[in-house]
Amino acid sequence: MKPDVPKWVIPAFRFPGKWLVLCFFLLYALTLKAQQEKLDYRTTDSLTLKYYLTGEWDSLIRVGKASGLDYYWLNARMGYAWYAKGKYGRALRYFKKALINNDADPFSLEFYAYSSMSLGFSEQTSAAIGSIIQSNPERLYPLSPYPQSGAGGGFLQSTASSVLNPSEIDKEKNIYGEAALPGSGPYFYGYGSLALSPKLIITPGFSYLKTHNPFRAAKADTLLFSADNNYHETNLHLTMTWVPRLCWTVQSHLRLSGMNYEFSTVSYNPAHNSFSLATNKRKITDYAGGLKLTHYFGDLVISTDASWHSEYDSSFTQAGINLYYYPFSDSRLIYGAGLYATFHNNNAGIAVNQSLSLNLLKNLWLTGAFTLGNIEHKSFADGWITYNADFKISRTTSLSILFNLNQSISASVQWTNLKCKGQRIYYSTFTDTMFQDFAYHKNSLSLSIYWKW
Amino acid sequence: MVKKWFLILVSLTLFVEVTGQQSRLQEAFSQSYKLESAADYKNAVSVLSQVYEENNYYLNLRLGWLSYLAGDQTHAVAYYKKAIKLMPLSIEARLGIAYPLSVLGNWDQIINYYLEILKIDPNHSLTNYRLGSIYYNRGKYDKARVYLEKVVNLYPFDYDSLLLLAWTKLNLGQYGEARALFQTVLLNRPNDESALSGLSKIK
Repeated sequence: MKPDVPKWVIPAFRFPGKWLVLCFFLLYALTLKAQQEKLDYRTTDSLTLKYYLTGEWDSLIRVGKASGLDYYWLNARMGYAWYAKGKYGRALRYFKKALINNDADPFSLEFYAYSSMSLGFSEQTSAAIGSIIQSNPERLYPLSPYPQSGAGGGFLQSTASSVLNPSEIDKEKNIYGEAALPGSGPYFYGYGSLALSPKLIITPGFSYLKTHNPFRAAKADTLLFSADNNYHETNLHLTMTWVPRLCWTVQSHLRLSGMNYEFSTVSYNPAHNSFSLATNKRKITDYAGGLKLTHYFGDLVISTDASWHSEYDSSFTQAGINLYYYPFSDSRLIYGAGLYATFHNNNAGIAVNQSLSLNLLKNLWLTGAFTLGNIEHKSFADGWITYNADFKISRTTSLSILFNLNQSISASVQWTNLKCKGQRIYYSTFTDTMFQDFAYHKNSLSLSIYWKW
Repeated sequence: MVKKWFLILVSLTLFVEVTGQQSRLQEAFSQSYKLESAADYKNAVSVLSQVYEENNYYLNLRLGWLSYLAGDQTHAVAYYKKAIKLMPLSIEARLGIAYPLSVLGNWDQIINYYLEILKIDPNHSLTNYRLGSIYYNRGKYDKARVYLEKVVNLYPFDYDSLLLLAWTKLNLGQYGEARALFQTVLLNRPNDESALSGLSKIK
């Protein structure tokens, strides 16, 4: 006779055999709970050490999480496990926790630096490297634990405008033009680094940019001409990075560029009181080379660089010194100041820059750059001299998201927005003082893929 | 009259209870020493846990030490922290907490506790020496020198402090002072390998 089963019992368990299954699950759950309760310090420490040595990262993470403990070695092992799995964001979090317990341990500092490097957080990387130097001034490190190659591309969109003497502008008499430089268009790049020795890395690379620059000229708000200018730029790069000691980086770079562009000019013929537009095509080969020395003093980074650039009809030399403050204890803030001197054949300039970057959210940085003064001196063959002084404020916002496709391949999407406003003051022995307002706006969206080998 | 007898009875009961608790504590402490000398740290902890009172400094201190020996570093840190809270000027509890913290690798916390000791007793030689050795191992020789010089001034013929200060000076490039210190070490321990090795680097 069928037993009288109450209606509230779940149908699947109306037969006695099913109760065995339920009991089994209950027993399993209790065993699991008992196992978790056993995760005291000794069990956790010995298990995580074992998993760390055998490379069982998933087990290490499971045990570490279940223990709920917080001590240096556990955090360091958890950080390394996530690093080995290619989850650099989580690795960074655990190495940060480890460094709260012991901020001088080179193991966590080193992998904190590598995790930051993998996430593209160059500021945090520098800060961590600075701290390694403080605790281990004699230790030598390779630049990166692995050679890396990368390729990517994106779309650049920019606009620029400038207005001469805005307060005195007489649009009836003046022609004014607007050009988007370098315009909007796609770009591609690729590079591959090769470690010749642990301290010497050579990185060849290329980049290509194709933009379209609409040009328009107007008089008294009446459009006179418009033209579509095109710009192609191909660059070949070669960078050699030598790290003789961890606190020193010596970088030399060579660039060969081929530029092919169309440009438009407006000319005025007073005899006929008429305007004409001419579009020209030009091919330019440009090359540049330079040397950069960086020295890390803990939270302070000083870099000096000198470079030489050819231009289609002249050349110039630039030398500068930059000072950055990356407080390791608060890697959400970076302050930088720099002084640059430029020398042309008949032109010399000096610029003082300051910048402040704040990390608002995980991947969101807000950067404010302020040029205190960019003073240039120009002398001309016929004896007159001009001085220019630029005052500008720019703001950069960038958002980047990194995806780790597997242990060696990762991809990132980055959006950068730059807005700059400024004023240039001209003083000349030949003409009156003039003011020019200028502004530019740049948006770029890029997708990059990195491959570590 | 009844009231008087009642009060006497209550007082006696309390006295018996207090002395009983005291003797239970003494018995538990005594047993814990025996178990500690037999290297049975787990049972030593369990004996004291049976008479545990959260506000008893001595119990917390002893349990901190025994938990450390038993390998239970997280509990050891917790007991020592309670002891420090109960006796805020205790140097011994701060010296004690350094043991489990060092096993856990939490060296920054150790430095903080040692600095607290030096606020209480600036000339505490063991703490000055240990801080000196932590900074030496971190390569911060300038900081190490400050603490080690203090110890060597207090104990001018102490082998460990002399030797560590000599190596610190050597790393700071103060070769003359390093040589003199290594030579003093050799007066304390003739043919000391470390001192001879240090001297060979100066020549």
